[in-house]
Amino acid sequence: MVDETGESPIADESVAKEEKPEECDEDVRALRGKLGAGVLLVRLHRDQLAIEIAPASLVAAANFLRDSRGFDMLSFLAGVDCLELPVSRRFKVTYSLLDLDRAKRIRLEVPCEDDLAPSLPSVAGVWPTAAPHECEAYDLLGIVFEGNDNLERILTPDGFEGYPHRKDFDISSEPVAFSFRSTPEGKPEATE
Amino acid sequence: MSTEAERADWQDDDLLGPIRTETMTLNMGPQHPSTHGVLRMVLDLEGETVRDCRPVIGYLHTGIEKNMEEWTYNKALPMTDRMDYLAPMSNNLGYVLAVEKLLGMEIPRRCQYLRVLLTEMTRIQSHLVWLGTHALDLGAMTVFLYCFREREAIIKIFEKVAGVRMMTSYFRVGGVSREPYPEFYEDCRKFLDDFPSKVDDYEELLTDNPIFRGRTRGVGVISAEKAIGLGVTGPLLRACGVDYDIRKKEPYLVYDEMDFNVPLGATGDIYDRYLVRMAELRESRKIAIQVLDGMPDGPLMADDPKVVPPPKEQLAHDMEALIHHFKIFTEGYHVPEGEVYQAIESPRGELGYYIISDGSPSPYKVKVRAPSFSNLFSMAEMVKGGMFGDVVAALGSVDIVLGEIDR
Repeated sequence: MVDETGESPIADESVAKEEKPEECDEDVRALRGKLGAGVLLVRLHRDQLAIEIAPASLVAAANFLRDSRGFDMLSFLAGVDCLELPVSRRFKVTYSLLDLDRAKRIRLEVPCEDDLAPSLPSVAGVWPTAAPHECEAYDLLGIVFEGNDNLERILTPDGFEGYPHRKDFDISSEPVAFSFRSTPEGKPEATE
Repeated sequence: MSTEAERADWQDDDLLGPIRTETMTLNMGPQHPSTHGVLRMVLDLEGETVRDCRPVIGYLHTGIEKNMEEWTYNKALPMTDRMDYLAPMSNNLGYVLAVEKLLGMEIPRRCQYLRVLLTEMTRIQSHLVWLGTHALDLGAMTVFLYCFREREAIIKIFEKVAGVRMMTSYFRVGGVSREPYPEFYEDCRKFLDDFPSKVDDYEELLTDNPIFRGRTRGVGVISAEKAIGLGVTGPLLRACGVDYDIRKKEPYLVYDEMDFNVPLGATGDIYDRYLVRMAELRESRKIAIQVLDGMPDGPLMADDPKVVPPPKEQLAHDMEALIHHFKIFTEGYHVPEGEVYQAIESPRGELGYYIISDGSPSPYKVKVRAPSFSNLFSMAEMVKGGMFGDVVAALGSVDIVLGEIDR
């Protein structure tokens, strides 16, 4: 396929890719140099940088960003159910990192490979604050964080079943408790 | 005078057996007056020494984030001030800024000034509740009454401006819900002019009080390095000497034009947190006075008829306004696809809204980064090795709001 100027669109794309502002970011370059193919995608939206990382590279990326790039605070992590979004993997976890000295924020987005039993390595060893946040993501979305020893449900009541922040969690109905007690006339009590 | 036989009754080792030294596990809460809401803490005690502390949360979980996914962006807004009910305007602000960022919307300067004024008033009233209850936990009753007197004055202003005392929902996407009442600025100025003398009163009661100092100095210490690792933000982090205030470092609204200091502590103990928050009361007042002095003229609402509802008067004779009004309140407005995270400096620390939009009129996913959540889980670090009685003091100094922890 050749366009009007005689150049193939593939060549055009590669030129455009080099000029993308998100690729010029020094942290992205450093991370690419460290992880290589572990960096799946880089997005810049509304001046906010998001880097998609392969699950296998997560802990390496976390250690590298904290020790070499100064991202010493994990602001939060959030599990996302992408069931209704046009992406290939159902679950992803977003890690929001903050460098206090440079006042710079980046987001790491890590897709979970298994849609039925989503799991990721824990980063609680890198940022201790991850431990309760991972419990929250496990509680609400059922994402298991391997290596987090105290992974437990922290928000939902004891004995709660299902993961309420999943998109297919049924919130439209609730089982009705019928009593079937007899009234003096001998008929079952009407439920209203 | 006791006889020999009576004395021996409680001193006899054979009767009592050896001293028991095993660790005791104690539940503190969920119904405990010093837990500020419904929080349970599982404490491992060795005598009176705390060996471990595990906060147990979830008693107030109401699924606010899930609810927000089901509603339009406008309908989701009133949920936000129900999370941190002591700082409703800050919660509204974080949410509307995030949605405005998704929309790529510009807000008029007068509205930005008004938002700064009201969020700083919110910071003052939230810190007053903290100060009152914290002092009450430590046995100082008077401060509580004084603080709630001043807080009431701010709440009255909120009631007049928003129609509600606490759950204001005053900030809206594209502006605010309505023009403030005519004497609003006068009322604010009157309150702010009197306020420094009130802060002097509180300080006189506490700052040099030997009991208060004895309970707080060198107690509940957390180092800067540990605090950063645990995701601690806000006055707690600044009390450790870490200079990070989102208003200064990542300015939103018109904070970059305001002249104010970021108070810092040195040791990271409870007393430093107290000093930092007391200084913040004065700094917030300084910002609010600057806003009142520099309040610009101009429109209050953003010029975007698809998002901002038209003035009520127009509905009677303007067909287009009527259609926009109808569409905004039934279908809502479509927000372009994308993900944003907007953080603001709430009275408790970094309050952030992470919103994913799929292009529909309701958010696909909302995650609230609640400052109290991360701050609460630094409790173990603060009280380990300390005395049982200091747990109450440390918890009060964290200034938690369970509503935003459990959401």
